[in-house]
Amino acid sequence: MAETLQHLLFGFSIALEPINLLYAFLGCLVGTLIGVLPGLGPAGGMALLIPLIYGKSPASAVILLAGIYYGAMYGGSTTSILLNLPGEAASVVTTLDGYQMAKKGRAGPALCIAAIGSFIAGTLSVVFLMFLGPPLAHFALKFGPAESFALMVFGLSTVSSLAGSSLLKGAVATIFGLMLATIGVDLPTGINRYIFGIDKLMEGFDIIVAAIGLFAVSEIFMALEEMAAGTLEQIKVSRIWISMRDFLDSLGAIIRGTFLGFVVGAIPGAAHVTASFFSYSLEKKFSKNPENFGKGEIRGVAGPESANNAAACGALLPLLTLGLPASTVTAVLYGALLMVGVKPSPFLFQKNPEIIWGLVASMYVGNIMLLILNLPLVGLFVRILSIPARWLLPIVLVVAFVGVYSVHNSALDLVLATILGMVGYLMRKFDFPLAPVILGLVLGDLMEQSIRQALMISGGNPGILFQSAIAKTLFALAVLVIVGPSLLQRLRRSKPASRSAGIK
Amino acid sequence: MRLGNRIWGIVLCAVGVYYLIEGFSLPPAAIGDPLGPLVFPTILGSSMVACGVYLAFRPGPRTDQAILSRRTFPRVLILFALLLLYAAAIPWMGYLFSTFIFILITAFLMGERSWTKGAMISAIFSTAVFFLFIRFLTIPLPLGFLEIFGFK
Repeated sequence: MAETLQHLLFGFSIALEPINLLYAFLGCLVGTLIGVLPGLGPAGGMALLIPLIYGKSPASAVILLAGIYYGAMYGGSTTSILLNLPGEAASVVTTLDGYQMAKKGRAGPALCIAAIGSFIAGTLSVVFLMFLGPPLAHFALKFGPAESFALMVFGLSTVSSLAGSSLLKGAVATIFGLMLATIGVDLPTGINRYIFGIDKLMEGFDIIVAAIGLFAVSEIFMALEEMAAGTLEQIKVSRIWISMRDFLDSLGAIIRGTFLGFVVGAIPGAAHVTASFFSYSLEKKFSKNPENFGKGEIRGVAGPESANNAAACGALLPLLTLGLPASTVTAVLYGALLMVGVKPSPFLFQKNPEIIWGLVASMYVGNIMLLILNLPLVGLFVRILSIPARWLLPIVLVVAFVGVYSVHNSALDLVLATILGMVGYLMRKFDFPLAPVILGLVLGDLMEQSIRQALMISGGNPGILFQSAIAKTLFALAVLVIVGPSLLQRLRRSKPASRSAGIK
Repeated sequence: MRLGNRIWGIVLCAVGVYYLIEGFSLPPAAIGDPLGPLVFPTILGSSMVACGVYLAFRPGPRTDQAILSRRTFPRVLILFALLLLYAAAIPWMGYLFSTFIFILITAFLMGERSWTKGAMISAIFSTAVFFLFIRFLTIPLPLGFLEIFGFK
């Protein structure tokens, strides 16, 4: 352990050189700009700017990319909170309570807790990497197709906490999302499904297109209607900084989110989208007043934002210990490392530990720089909300369209986003929740692939799904998440002296 | 809400049935795969139909208030149409010009009353967005008419 600490300190001594600090600053700045543009997420932004790292030292290259990465993640959260415009799939969860906070004039605290939560998550993740790194990587390796399928089922069970008033409507929204996921080429057989003769649909339905359509475009339809009815109120900003109470309220959520995010992030394929959904579900299920969620609960922002960030660190584990890029972001990082002459492999931990800890230190410096850069910017971002709605809303649409277009460079996606905007508007009007659609779309692909892979391995015997302890545990947890809260309530109600009896 | 639920129930059933029909018209898989490309869609389609039937016949409180207002919904439809036109115009006119026109019209739809002020603000924003994202971040959006003026 002392040796590891030494390597880490050495890593920091490189990462804190002035030139590298400058790179971290530039990376965060450009990253934030990219993140504010929906569509170009962290992975896209990093890939776009990879030519910049050519010829730089590994540390500088990683610092620059880490800065872009953290900046882009934070930029995505900013637009989710201020405008209900999720810049990437993982920020969808942030819109649920973040945007409601903004509507109540608490955009400042929401942005602050997103930055602070990310920072704490980044810090704790470095500690986790030191202590849990190698054992956790081996645990993650145990995730075969059957375990992945169980994890996806567990993921879907979190719908029960996103569903709002009616579980049935939540189920409908999830099935709709899963249906969207089946659009495109079926990979194992090469058959085109549900493309309606449109070749461009072969690539599948992009999550960003769905997220921007369902959340941002439908939000503008809603706002237009309120405007026409004369009920749209100009958002008043009450305070920009976060209060101590808000911070202490969210600290538990941040720590839980970090741990959850780190573990889920280390599992290949699960991605940080799942981590943020898990964290939201966890916070809501175990909250004393779950009815506040979806109405501007700060814990609903703090938890998922931290989970998101920790998942990014967790995803480094399979890359560094096994040489496996487990997510798009780490795949870009892998490419970048190859470019500067470092080949991630299972032997890296033994042979060149200084590179690993240098990388970790560099990521961390990017994290700190983000906090320094963005906390002062909160006031500026919040001021966006004081632009009159009749100008702000068209501009949001225009920027959203750039993002949607950039996904496949196709105007068809613009049409799809518009149509989904209308679908989202109608769903909201009739009280269907939107987030399960995104969850279904994210998990659908992975779920179908993993169950088919598992059955191919077993030759069609479904028993394989329930063989391992991990899979069994996950299935049990899924049942618990769905049934648990109502059982708990019933138990409480059956006690005559219960305090909560008088409320309902 | 009862009427609303009934209509939604029917809509969901229709979506489910259509999804199933479309699925069953797929060619059979050529490669051995215990779960073909059809199994997952079949589960999804039939669950959707089940949800639709349940939603349509579930007893609920009868409050037949109109959720889509006759006064405001047409405006939403106008914006919907504008967005579709905007999407169609981008590849043809280019991002800069179509954006200028879109911001201007939408701002008026949302209550702006002054043409000169509208045109100015719209011009400023569309150029700013253009330079920031297309020039600086080099996102390949169509230039359209700009190509005539020698932009590349």
